[in-house]
Amino acid sequence: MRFPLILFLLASLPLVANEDYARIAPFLKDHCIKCHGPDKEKGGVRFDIAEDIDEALWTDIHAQIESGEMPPDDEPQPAKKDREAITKIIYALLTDEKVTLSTGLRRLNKREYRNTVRDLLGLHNGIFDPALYLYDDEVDHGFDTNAESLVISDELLMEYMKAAEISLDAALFIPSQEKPENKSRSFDLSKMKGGDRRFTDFSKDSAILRIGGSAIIYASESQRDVPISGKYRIKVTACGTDRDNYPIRFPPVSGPVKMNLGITSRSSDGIFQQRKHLASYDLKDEEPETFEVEVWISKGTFPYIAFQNGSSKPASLTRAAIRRRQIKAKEAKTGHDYIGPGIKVTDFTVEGPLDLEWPPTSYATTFWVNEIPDLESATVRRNILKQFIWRAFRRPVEDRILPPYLRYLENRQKETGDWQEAMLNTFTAVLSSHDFLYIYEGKGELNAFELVSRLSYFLWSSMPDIELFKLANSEDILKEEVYLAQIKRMLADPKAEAFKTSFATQWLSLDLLGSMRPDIKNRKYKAYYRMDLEAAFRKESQLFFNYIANENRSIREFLDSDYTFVNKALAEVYDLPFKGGNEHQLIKIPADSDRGGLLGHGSIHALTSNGVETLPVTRGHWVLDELLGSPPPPPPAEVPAIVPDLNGTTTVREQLEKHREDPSCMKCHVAMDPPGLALEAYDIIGRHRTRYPNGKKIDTSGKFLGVGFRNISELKSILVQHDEFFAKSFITKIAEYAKGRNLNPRDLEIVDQITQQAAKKDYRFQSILAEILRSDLMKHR
Amino acid sequence: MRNGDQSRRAFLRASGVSIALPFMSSLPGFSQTQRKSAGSPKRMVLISTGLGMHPGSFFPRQFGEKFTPSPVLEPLMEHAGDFTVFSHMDHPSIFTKHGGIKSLYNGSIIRKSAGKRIVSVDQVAASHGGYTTRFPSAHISLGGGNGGSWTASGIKVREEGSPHNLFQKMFVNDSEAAKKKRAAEIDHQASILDLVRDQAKGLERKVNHADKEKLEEYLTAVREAEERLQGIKKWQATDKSEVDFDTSIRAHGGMDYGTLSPLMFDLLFLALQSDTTRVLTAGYGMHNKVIELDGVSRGYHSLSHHGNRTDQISELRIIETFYMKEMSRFIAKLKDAQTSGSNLFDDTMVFFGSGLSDATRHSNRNLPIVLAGGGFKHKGHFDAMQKHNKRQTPLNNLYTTMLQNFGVQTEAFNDATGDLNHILT
Repeated sequence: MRFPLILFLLASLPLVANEDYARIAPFLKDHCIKCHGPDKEKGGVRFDIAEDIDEALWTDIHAQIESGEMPPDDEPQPAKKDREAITKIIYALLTDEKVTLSTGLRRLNKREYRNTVRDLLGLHNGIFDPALYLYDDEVDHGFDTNAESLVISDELLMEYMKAAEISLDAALFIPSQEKPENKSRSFDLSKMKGGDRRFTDFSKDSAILRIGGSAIIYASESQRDVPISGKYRIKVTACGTDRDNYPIRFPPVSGPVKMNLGITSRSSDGIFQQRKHLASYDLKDEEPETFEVEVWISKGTFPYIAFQNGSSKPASLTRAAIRRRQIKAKEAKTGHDYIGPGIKVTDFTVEGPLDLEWPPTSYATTFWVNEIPDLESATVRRNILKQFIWRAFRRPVEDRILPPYLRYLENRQKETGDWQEAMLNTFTAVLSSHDFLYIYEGKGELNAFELVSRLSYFLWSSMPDIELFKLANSEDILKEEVYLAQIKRMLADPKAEAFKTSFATQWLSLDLLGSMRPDIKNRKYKAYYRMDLEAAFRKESQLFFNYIANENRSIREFLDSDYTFVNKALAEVYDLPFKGGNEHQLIKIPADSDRGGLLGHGSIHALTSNGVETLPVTRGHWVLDELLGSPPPPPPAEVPAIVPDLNGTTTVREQLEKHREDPSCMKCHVAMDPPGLALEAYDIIGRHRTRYPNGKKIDTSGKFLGVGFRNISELKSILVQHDEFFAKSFITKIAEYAKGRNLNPRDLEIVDQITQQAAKKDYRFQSILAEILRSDLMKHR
Repeated sequence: MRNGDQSRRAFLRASGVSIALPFMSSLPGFSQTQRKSAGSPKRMVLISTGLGMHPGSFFPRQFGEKFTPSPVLEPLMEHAGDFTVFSHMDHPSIFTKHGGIKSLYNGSIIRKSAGKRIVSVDQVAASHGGYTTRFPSAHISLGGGNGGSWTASGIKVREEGSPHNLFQKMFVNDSEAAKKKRAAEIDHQASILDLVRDQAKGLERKVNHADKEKLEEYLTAVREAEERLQGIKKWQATDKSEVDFDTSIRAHGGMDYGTLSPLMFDLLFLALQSDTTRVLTAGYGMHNKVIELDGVSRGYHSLSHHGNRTDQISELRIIETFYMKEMSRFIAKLKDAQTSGSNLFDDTMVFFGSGLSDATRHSNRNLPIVLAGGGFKHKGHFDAMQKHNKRQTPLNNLYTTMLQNFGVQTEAFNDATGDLNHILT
């Protein structure tokens, strides 16, 4: 196979033309290359090879020369006029669209693909996920909308073809031209599948499940499939059984046997499967009752039953009981004659489809028709295909586009003898083309169609709807009042949750919570697992973000607030008064508590720990990066990392103080360490502590931005004093998310203007968003 | 999986004493003579752990061919002379602490990756061999993904999460109906690629420099997908190799390494022996769960933060010694498998390494590296500190030598500064 190694052996072209580099090179040679060149490569960068300097690095070089940060103080300094001249040249290059404009072709990321396919094909019901099989997007830094990071490969392209085919199958499947009747089908209980053979008992009259955990039972393959995706009524008649028929007591020791009902799927290779929990029921012992639930069942998915509070390892429990001499090995019934408690199902029926639309919604949406079309007609076929391509490509179909697809359609018909099949094949091709998979933006000001796509993928993470398409077609969207009205409508739409969820998740790395968990065997952190703190943390931060967004609060409250969202578990961890239960509620934080703002969130504390130790340097870095918008550069390569002293004679503060004696460490650590050390007041799962495990007292005082503070509350007031830094950083991040690329100096000038505007409005979330949306950041590529 | 009985009907013996099938008999499109003249093909097996190796337990104290084994290396000593332990080797540009796991096989950070030095060594080998075997490469990890393998375009290569999944993929045939469906699908997909390529080419003239690079990325994916489909199609008609693998053995959880790891290595062995693939990666992941080995009582990640406490180090040592035991057993099996020339071990480079060295310091320097087999001249414990510049040898230099041994023509893999041919060949 000739996989083109050539692709990566060919160095990419330099960003700036050789003659431009030549104008800058003498300065770099005199002042920079000694450290950032072949000999030292400090900070992992070198400036002697033009090809190796990308836009981000040029931006950095410009900023550091301009601010005087580089060359460092202990090196000879360039003359003021040289410094000014060179920054001018670099700035001119960086603001020249011909030079720096990054790509206008952005692949849909996994979330956008999922939402777009669902919208395009009308596949909103049930658990079907068009993106299930796709590779995750690997984004090193920043957001999953970053065009540069969104690469494609042969494997991914093949997955796109597969995903398109499966999705179209799901959308266009109809068993016949006639609407299927509502029917009731009872499963044959003796042919049930799943569970563990030792702990299930299937007969004509009943199906018994005696194992909990992840075990599920469901009907056999020939019976379980529904005739068509639609709404169905699932009826289960069941009771608890054999509660006391075993020599030792098995879970549930007290209370009723609980049955879970859900929907699952199994792909042909048996590896991928999804599960969606629908409902839980308390069962009476040996007294069958009938439970009903109405739910959308997609074709290929089917209902399952699970034993919610049953033992997940009955055999291990039995063995343990024998070891402890609670029972004799002889009386311990394992294997098939095990008769511990279980769920006894005496009827399992699916009824439907109920209230089926005809043609089904997904069929009607995909073909964009109100009735089953006559595909024998060439005009009908042409119209359907054109309509589909138009929506899929999110712009009017150019003349050159349609004919090859029409020819392909006819070829597929010859191949398959079936117009519907041929149409499905052709649509698969449409969804595998770059026109569908990439959002395309030309240079300069966006045209009407590019603009509605930009808006839609920013706020909805999906394709524009018909209203937006119409306004793009008439170009009315370019009128200010129409544009503003649409923004208002889009933000009010439930689809706008996509922006809030994915922006907050990625900004705060909430998706990484759980990648470095505490030791499950460590008693100290039992609460983390017992109270499911991971989910509770994540939810707190998300609700907090949504509240600021929805209630148009000042984004200053990310720095400090007098409220947060907790459930019972979090209130316990945070030591806050709370009367509620498992659901998060908005609570006012007592004046003497320091839980306000993001710095009080357990999510942040856990994410800046590694599951074993807190990471004060990482925490300090986080404060500088996220709350001040000025991340320190990575540490110089030569300096070894600090080795935590677990034998416990020195504190981390003492270690860091020693570390700072090295002048190369001093510069950044002097800023990073104080907030990081103050945050030592929270342990790895966000609990307050005043002492280290070795008994040494934690000192939270320090100096930040030139002001002394004693504790976190005072640290936060310093941050609030400088809220414009945070605001600028926050606006930059939203703009990067929306634009799908890093901002260049030209964009950052607009960010400065927006920050000033927003300051006048108290940095209210919605006014910030409105300013961004109205600015050239949104309307230009 | 489901039909353990069927798969136990065996031709090849997992114990590896003898092979009933002629070697590479399943290779379609190659005549006997061609195979001979091609020489004996090389294989590459890359084993990794996500949390480094405790240097005090891992690195022997002396250098040279004869050295007193370190506690962790003890199990490998039955193969003394057949492997090299490297000290002072690293990826010079990697300072990403835990992130070093992701860079183990390429020495790069995925930043604006777009095809620049991001490909991992296994994928270069896989691309070179292509569909000569049924799978260009196969990947598995226990305890969660390590994710060290990257395609040339910067997409993470998927790993199977359990031996049973890998077995299913490599050795269980699809039903006739599924095969037929797949064959039709391949033809259909090939025709789609034709269409979308022509469409994309139409745009080529219209776009600017930065867009052209993106478009080129898409067109490359189309071209490679076409080749991949041809490769898959070539193997469609051929049944997968039948191997002796007991599918009834079940681990009682993902941390039951005592059960899972031998199964994993059995499969790696069977994959090589049946020539199902020639490039494999196998990883022990990074996590904080308790690995179920006798004497281990704490989460793996917690243990790796040993802070020089002896009780933690001794538990860590149990885990790390286990890794070496497993590798040693694997090597023994390869040695027992006769090939036309010699044995499978001489044709197989068995690499072990980690992107971290001492996890308690999160250090990415002095990585623990072992290379065995491959027909190399092994050097016992080799000090890779470079005399001329007092720097550690880039691990990519070793990969360069391994790739050349595999048959890839390359001077320098990614940003390698040379190779280790003068040491190993």
